[in-house]
Amino acid sequence: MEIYFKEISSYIISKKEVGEEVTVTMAGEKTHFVRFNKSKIRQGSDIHQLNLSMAIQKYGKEYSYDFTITGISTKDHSKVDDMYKICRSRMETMAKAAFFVPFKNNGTLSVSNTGDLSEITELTNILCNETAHIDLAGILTSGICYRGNVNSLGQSHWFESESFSVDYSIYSEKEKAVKGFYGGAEFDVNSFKAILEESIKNLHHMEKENKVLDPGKYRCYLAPAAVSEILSTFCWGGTSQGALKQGSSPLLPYKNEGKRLSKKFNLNEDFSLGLTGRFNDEGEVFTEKLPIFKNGQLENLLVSSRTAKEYGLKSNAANSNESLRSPVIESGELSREDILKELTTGLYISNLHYLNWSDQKRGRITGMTRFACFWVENGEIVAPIKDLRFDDTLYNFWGDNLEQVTDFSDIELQSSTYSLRSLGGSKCPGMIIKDFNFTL
Amino acid sequence: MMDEYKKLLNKFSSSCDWVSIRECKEVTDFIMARNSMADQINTAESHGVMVEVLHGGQISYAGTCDLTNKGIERAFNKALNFAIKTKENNLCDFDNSIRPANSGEYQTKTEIPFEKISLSELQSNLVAITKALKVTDEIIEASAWAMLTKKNVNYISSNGAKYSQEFCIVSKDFSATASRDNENQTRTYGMNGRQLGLEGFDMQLLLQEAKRVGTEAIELLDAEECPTGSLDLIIAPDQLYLQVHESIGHPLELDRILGDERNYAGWSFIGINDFGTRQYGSTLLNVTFDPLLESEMASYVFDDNGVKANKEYLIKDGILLRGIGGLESQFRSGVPGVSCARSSDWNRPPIDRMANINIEPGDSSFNDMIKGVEKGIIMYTNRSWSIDDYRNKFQFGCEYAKLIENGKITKTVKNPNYRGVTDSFWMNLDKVGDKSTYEIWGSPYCGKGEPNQVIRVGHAIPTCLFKSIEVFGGA
Repeated sequence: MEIYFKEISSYIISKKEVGEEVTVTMAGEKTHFVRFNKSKIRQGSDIHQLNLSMAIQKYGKEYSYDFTITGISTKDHSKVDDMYKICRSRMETMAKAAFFVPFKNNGTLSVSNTGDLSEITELTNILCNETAHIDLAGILTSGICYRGNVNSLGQSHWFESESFSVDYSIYSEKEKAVKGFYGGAEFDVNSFKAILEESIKNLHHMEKENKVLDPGKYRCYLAPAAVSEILSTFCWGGTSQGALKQGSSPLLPYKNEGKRLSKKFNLNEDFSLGLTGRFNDEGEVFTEKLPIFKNGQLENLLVSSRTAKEYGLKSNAANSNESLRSPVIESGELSREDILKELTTGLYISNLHYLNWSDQKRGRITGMTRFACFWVENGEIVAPIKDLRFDDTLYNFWGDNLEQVTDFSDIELQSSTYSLRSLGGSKCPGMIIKDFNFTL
Repeated sequence: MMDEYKKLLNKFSSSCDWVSIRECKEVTDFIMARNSMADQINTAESHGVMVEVLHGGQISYAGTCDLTNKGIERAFNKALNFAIKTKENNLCDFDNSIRPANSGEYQTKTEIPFEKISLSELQSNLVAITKALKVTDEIIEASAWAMLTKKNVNYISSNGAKYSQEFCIVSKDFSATASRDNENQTRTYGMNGRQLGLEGFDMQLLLQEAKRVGTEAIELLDAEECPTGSLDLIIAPDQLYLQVHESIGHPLELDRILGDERNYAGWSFIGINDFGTRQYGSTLLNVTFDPLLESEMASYVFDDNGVKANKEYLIKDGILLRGIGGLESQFRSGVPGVSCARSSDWNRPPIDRMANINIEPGDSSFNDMIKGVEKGIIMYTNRSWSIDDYRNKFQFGCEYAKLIENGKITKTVKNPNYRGVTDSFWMNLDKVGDKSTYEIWGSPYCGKGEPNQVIRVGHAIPTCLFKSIEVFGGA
């Protein structure tokens, strides 16, 4: 596909006129999705899609047109010709861009992560057979994703990744559930069975009657997947320089009122995870690793070239919404064996669900516990809990109330598939937090 | 194209039990302005074909952007191959009854077509709106955006279904952030989408609204914090529509109840046996599924399985009658459903989705509601939402609220929130507003499904009064 992208982008660049510069980006995939319910196939779909974007700049004006291409030269060339006509006609009457950032050559980057993916029907039947004795719901995703970026000034980037994932949850007869995930570049049935066995073992822990807790403040252990959910919400405006300038950032209390986070909190944008390309839609290449918070102190915010232009700052090649694409919270010192002992009495929370800012400008987040969450007494798991709603500020749970951070971390692959498969992911440790605020 | 597709179906149908082709083309212009200046304009076009095969009881799909006959044939073979080779592990043994042979056409009624105004003119209008938002220098950020979407769907099947639908959708919002000392408050118009032409972009009205939004953002800087306690709560349509969406729409989806969504969006506190008997809310609660309401965001005459749309009561006089489930879910559950199998685009299979889920107007005027409240609050415009995976425990935040004391509106309060549990919340519905309080809202962003799908939904809602709801203020 890289060869075809070079061919179609060369054609686009060859058709530009005097005064025009053009950036061509592509996002595509050949993916199999198989959806399961009760360990059987609910829906299977095979999706082949190639989406191209032409961004044209001319005399301080900019306009972009995204469109689907077929992958067949003659048809796509004709489409490109049509697109140019529309773009040029519309740009004639268009106002100049308020904060125009001219394209530049940001160099060349090419990453290709190949895999050895099994035939989809074979994988599907293996999954059904291995889980026939349990109630599993979820999705198998398998295939290749492409991202390309070329401009008329010589910039050229390519990223492709071949991978599969099984994102699942298993259920007991009493509707208790445990979440699981297995992914990689090559499916190994024994590895999958081992992960599944662990999920089944955890489901047995859920068989006791639920403990119903009153709302209030509880000592909690948040497992890496739960921390990752909070981090995802934080990324929604929390790392954006533009949001801070425009009065919508959760870091306003940090900036204006001296609110601080714990010295145990260290957050980086770290592309060494290798889960996504370092280039953004403009083709700017992000540094391999950038500290965001170091020992609780804000070191950097993400600055897009657009924000940089507007506020007279220096861009750090962030994407347009200035969110983290490959965040890593650094691990600490708490060993896996000591989690329950150090928690002593409180809640063990595996997963959180449906998080949202409840007061973004004050850094307050709400959400629900989900899947395997337990009440712990004197370092022993006592019973699963009935779901609870939390509502608390990051200045509490990542501030004074953050007691310990685990010495291990888990990678959470980005599993979003709105329009097409997302790339990227995060790496988070677990955390012990005191007085986590539950409201319902 | 339909003739070409028909020829292909004739070729395909000899090797499978049933097959359809659904072609979707969607073009969206996104225009934005910020702080009295033109901002980004871009256009996104998606065009492809989904081939759906039913064979041996198994349905499978293949979507392709290669619109040549060879490309579509390749997709058909992939879908058929999957259906054959995984037949043993099929969840449900479907038959042709889930794919009716309906025919027809639909087109959004528009007074002013999109083509009448250039994107540049629209952007100038948005710039004017941002100027109107900036009522004082304490407005530090003023933005406005609009999306104009035209979507065409052509569907044809081997058993004779054939329909075309064209949708024109206008979505818009604008926002003002006010700042003084360490206080920052944002007020918005409230994101709204309707099936309309550019008559949905009435500049005189929008400029008035922009001034109101800017003024209210400033007003919030001086406002007291929302009180904490159990109060009577009047909810305006620009918040109540999301309450209906999250705590009535989603839990009534039959595919959730059947467990398809358990790994992602979640399950439901409603069971199969609840239909026809369960008291979902007070006797004042009447909820309809109505894809035929003109100009509402998710209006259509056929769903993506070719089922004809009809208005149906989901809840009548508080009793749960019917689920939000298409023919597949009805086949699996035996529960009466609606024509709601919808897909976000050509590259996703249809699943059970809300279309227009509406509360039927009652007989209380806004003033009647206020007069009857001794201590209460009115909340406007959603700013935060969250609910559990069974759709029980929810929490919503709003932008703006007014206190009611002894039957009169007294003062504005900031950072209003409320929380509750779905069951008891709808039982506390005490008054339903009349037609004068009724507004049509719609969102382009309802997420669900594996693989994920974001879809447009509409909600036509009157203002309603709820007794004894837990409300609270900011951090």
